[in-house]
Amino acid sequence: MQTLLKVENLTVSFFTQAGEVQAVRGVDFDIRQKETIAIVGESGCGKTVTVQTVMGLLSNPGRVKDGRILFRGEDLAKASRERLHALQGNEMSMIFQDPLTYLNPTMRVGRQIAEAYLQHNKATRDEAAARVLEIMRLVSFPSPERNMRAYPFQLSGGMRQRIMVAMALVCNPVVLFADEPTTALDVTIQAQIIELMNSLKSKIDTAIVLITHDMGVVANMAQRVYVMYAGRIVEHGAAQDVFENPRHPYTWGLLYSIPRLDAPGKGAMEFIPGTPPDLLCPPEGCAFAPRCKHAMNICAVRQPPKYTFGRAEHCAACWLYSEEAKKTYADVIEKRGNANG
Amino acid sequence: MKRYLAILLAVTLLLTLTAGFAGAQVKEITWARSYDSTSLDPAEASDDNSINIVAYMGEGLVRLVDNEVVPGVAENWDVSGDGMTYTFHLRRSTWSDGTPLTAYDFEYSVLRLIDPDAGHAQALTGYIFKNAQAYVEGTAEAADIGCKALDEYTLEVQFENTGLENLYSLTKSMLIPVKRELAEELGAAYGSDTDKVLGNGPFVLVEWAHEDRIVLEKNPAYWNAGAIAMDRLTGLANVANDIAVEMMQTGVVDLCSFSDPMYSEQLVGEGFSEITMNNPYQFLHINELGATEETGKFLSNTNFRRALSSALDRTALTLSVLQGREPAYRLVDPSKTGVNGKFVDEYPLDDGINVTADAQKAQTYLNLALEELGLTADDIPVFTMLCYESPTSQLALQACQDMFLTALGIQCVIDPQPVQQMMGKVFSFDYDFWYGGLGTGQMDELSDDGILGYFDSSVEGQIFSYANPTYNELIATGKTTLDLQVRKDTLFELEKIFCDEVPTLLLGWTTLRYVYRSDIVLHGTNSAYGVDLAFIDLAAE
Amino acid sequence: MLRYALKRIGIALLTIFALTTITFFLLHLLPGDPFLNIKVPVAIQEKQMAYYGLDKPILQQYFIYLKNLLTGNLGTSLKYVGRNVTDIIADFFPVSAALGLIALFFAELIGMTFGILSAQFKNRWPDYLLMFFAILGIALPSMVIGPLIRYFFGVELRLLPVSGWGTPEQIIMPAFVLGLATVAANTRMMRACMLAVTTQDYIKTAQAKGLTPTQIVMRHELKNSLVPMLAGIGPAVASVMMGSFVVEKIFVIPGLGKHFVNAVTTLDYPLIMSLTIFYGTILVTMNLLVDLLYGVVDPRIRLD
Repeated sequence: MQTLLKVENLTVSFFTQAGEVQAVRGVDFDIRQKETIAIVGESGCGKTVTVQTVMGLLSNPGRVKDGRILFRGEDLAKASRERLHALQGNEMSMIFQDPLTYLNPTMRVGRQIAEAYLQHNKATRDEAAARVLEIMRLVSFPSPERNMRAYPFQLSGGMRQRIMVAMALVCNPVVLFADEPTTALDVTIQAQIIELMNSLKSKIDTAIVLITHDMGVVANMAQRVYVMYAGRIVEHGAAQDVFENPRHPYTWGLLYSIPRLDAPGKGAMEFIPGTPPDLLCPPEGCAFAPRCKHAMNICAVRQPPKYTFGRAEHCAACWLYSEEAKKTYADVIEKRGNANG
Repeated sequence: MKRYLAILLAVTLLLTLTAGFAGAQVKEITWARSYDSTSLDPAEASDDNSINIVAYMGEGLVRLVDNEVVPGVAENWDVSGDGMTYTFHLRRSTWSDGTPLTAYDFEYSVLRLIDPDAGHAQALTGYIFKNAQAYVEGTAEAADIGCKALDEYTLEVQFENTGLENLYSLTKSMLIPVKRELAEELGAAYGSDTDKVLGNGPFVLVEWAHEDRIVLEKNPAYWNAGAIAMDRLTGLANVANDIAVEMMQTGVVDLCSFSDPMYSEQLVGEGFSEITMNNPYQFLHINELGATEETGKFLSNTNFRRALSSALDRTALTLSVLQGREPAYRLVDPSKTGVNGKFVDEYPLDDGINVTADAQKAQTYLNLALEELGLTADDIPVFTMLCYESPTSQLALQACQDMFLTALGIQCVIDPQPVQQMMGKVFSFDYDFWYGGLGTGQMDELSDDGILGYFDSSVEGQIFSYANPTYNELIATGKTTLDLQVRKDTLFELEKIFCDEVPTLLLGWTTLRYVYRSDIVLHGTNSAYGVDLAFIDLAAE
Repeated sequence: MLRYALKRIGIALLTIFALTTITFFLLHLLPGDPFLNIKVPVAIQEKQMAYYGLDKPILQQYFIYLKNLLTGNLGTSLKYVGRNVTDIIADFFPVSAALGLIALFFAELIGMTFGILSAQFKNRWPDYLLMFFAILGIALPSMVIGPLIRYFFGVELRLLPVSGWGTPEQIIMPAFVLGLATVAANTRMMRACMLAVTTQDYIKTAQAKGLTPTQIVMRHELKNSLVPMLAGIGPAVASVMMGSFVVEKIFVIPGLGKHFVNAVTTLDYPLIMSLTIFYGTILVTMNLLVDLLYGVVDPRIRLD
C-alpha cells in the first residue's frame, strides 16, 4: 500500500513569555492508504499538537523547529499558507473532540458542510446541496433533508458528531485526523460513532489517524498504534502486537490501568504514579524515567534508542532492551509474571 | 441638431446671467440671534427677539425712532389741554393682504389685549387706557374703555393718567393691531406660525422655521414702502456668541450683537463696524424685608445700605467679572437725553455712586447703622445672595461677597437657582440680595417699565419694599407732568434720592455692541429692542 | 411567539403609563411656576395660570391631563404660546432623528470595522493606534472637540459650513462629533467580542476546512460577535434620535435636544410631559425591536 503521509523527526515548540515549551520532540510516524492508525498517550503528551501541525493549524506562538511532513511527497512544513488552505478540508481533514463547541452555533449545519465543499469545488448551490445530502446519508444521518436546516443546538451529541464527520469527508480527503472523537460523548453514542467510522472504512478510501487516550477505542479501530509520551513516540507497532506483547513500561502502565469488569476483588484502581515532565525544561534522558519502576541509572542520563521486536515495525525506545540490561530485564519479567504485566 | 444645441446653450446662458442680475438686485442681510422668537402675537411677545419681529411686521399708531415719537398709522393727532385725550387721524393704509386697516382694528386689538379670559402675558400695557383695569376687574363695561373708533379713520384715545409717557407708550409693540377675523379664527394659536399672523408693517413674514430662521420680505403694501431699502431680512436663531463670530468671519451673518467686548473687539479688528447702546442696568437688588427677620433689620436700615454701597468697587467689578459694563457713578447713564441735550450734561452729578470702594466710609456707615439698631458687629447675620445659575452671575456674586467681607466683615452665602425657581424666591421675598437686571424704560427711568417705578410704594404688588412718601410724590409728579423740563428736573431729584438712600445697589450700565458688515448703513435705533433693522440700507458699491 | 410579543407590549404600555404619572407629579413638585416674571403684575400672572388650568388642585389637573392624553390632546406649549406640543415635537424630531441616525449608522459601521481590524492586529501597532484613538474618542467631550473642528474646518480651512442645517455639507461635522464617542465605544466592544470569538473552538474547525482568515472573520466571527453589540444598539438609537443638547447647540441645529433642557428650566409643563412620553415610547419600542432582532441573529434565542 502506498504511503500517504510520512512525518519525520517533527519538532514543534511554543515560544511563550515563560520560555520555550518543547511540545513535540522528534516524532516519526506514517500512514498508508486505507489504514487506520492510532496515536495514544495521556493529556499533554503532544499528540494534538502533532496532528494540528500536520494539518497546518499550528497557531502562535508555536513553530516547527525541525522535521519534515511529507504528504504525497510534498513537505508541508515548508508549504505556503495558500497551499495549506488548499489542502485543509480537501485532501486532509479533521474532526474534533466536542461537536457542540466545534460547530458554529449560529449557522445551519447543512451550510457548514456545504461551506467545506464549496471552498474546494466550483459548484452551484443546488449541486452543493445535493452533495451535502449525499454525505449526510453516508454518515447515516436521519432525515437529512429536514435536518440540513437545523442548528447545532437542536441536534443530539451523536448527531452533531456525525455532522462533523460529514463535514470532514465531504471533499473525499485521503487522510482524516480524528482528535478524540468519542471523548465528549456518552458511552452508547461512543459505540455508535466507532461503528460509524468502522463502516466508513469499507465505503470510502480515507485513511484515518485516530488520537485518543482510550485504549478500548484503539482496540476497536486501529491497525497500528503509536504510543506517545512527553513529546516522543515511545513504542509503536501493529495493534495486535502492542496489545498482546507491550514492550515499553509506559505502555504496560497504560494497559494495566484500564479498569476491567472481571478484575479480582474491588481493589483500588491501578495508576501510574507521578506526573508528566515539565516541557519547559524536559529531562536529558528518558522522559518516563522519573515514573518508571524499572529505571536504571542510564535512563535519566541518555535517551534510549529504538529497539525492534518480532516482525519488523514493532519498536520500543527503552534501555531495558539493550545488551547491557539483559539481566535487569530478566528480573523485571520475573516480577511481572509475563510480558503483559 | 448642433445648431439647436447651440441656441439652447445660448438661451440657458442668457437666462442664468439675467438670474444673476436679478439676484444681485436683492438687498438682504442675515442677522444672528441667540434665541428664537417665541410668539409673534403682539399680546404675547415678551422677549426682545419676538418684540422686534412683531415691530418689523406691524405698526401701531406711532413709531419710536431714536427716542423720538414719529407718525405710524396715525398721520397726525390732536391733544386735549390736560393731556388725557388724544384724537388720532389715521391715514388710508392696508393690512399686508390688501384689506383696509381702520380705527376699528385698533379698538378691537386693545379689547383683545386686556381680555381677562385670554390670559395674555402683555395685558398690562393695555391698562394705560382709561377704565381698562376697571373693565378687567369687572367694574366697568367694554364701552367705557378709553380707546374708541369714532369712524373708520378717527380713533379717540383716553388715558387713565396724564403725562408725557402716554404717547411713548403707544409706540410699544403690544399695541400693534391684530386683525379680528384672523385672531378669532385662530384663538390662542395666533402668532405661533408663519400662516397664523397678519401684519401691516414694513415687512411681511415669509418663513418661520422654528429654532432655525425667520425670513422677512419687504411689504409692498406698506404706506411708507419707499423709505424701506431692504428687500429681505433673515434672522437666524440659537447662535451662541462664539459661533456668531465665526459666522461673521465666514460671511454667513452680517450683523450681530454682543454684550461681552471680547467678541466684538475681534470682529472690529477685522474691519466690521460697531455701534453701542446702553441697556439694561445691572443691579445687586436689596430685599428690605430680608429673607429672615434678622437680615431684614439690617437691610431696612439706610445707613447699612450706604455701607454696602461704599464697600463695592464697581470699577473692579466691571473690569474683571462684568466685562461689557460701565461702572455706574450715578443712576442715569451718559447716553440718555435730557431736555435739549444729554441728561448728564444738563444735570451733573459726578459722584452720586462710588465707582471704587471707600473702606473708611463703609465702616463709618456701618457703625452708624449698628448704633441706630442698638446692636454690635457680632450681631450681624449671614446674608443670602440669590442669582440665576449661570457662571457669570455666580462669579459676580462671588466678587461682591468678597468685597462685603473685606470692607465690612459681612458674610454672605450664594444661592444659584434656575430661572423659574429664582423668580419664585423673588416673589416670595426669600432672599437678601438678588443679582438681576432691569431695563431703563421706554422714555426714561421714570417710564412705567423703568427702574424708578419699582420703588414706588403707593403701587400694589411691588417686588421691592422700599417705602418713601417723598419719593412716591416725586414719581407721581414726574409721570403726570406734561412739561419735559419738569419731568427731567423731577427725574434728577429722584436720582439724587436713589443715590443717597440706596434702595438697591446699582452696579453698572450694560453696553450692547452691535457689530455689522461695513457696508450696512444704520438709520435708527429703538430703545425697546436695539438696532432697528427696518430702516437700514446697504451702501452702494 | 405571539403571546410573548403581546405580553411585552402590555408591559411596555404599563411602563409608559407609570412614566407619565411619575413625571407629572414630580414636575408639579418643583418650586416656582412658569409665569413668574417681574415685568408682569401678579394679577395678570394669575389670569395666565387660570387660563391653562394650573390653578386647579393637582389631582384634578392629573385626571384632566390623562383624559386629554387619551383623546390625543397633549396641550399647547406655555413658552411658545399657542403652539401644539405635538407640532413642536413633529417640527424638530425629524432633524434630530436624521442627524442621530446618520451619525449612529456611521459610528456603528466604522466602530465595528475598527474593532475587527484591531482584533486582527492584536498587540501590533495598528491595534495600539486604534485603541489610542478609541480612548481619545471616549474621553474627549463633544463640547471640546465640536468647537475645535468647527473652527478648524469652518473658519480656518473654509472647507465646511460653520453651522446650520439643510445641506449635506452641514451634516458632516455634527455627525462626526455626535458619533465619535460611539465609534470609540464600539471599537473597544467589537474588539473584545471578536477576541472572545476568535478563541472559540468552532474557529478551529473553520480553519480545518481551509478557510482563509478573511473568510473566517466574515462568515464565522462577525455574526457571533454581533449579539452582545446588539444589546447596546437599542437604547443608543433611542437616545441619539432625541438629539444631543451639546452638538445641536454647537452647530446651531434646530433639533429636539435643547427642548429637553429648556422646557424644564422654563417649567413648560405640557412640553415636558410630551417630551417624556415621546422619549419613553421610542425607548420602549426600540428595546422591543432589539429583542426581536436577537432572535434573527442568534437562533438559540429564537425558541425561548
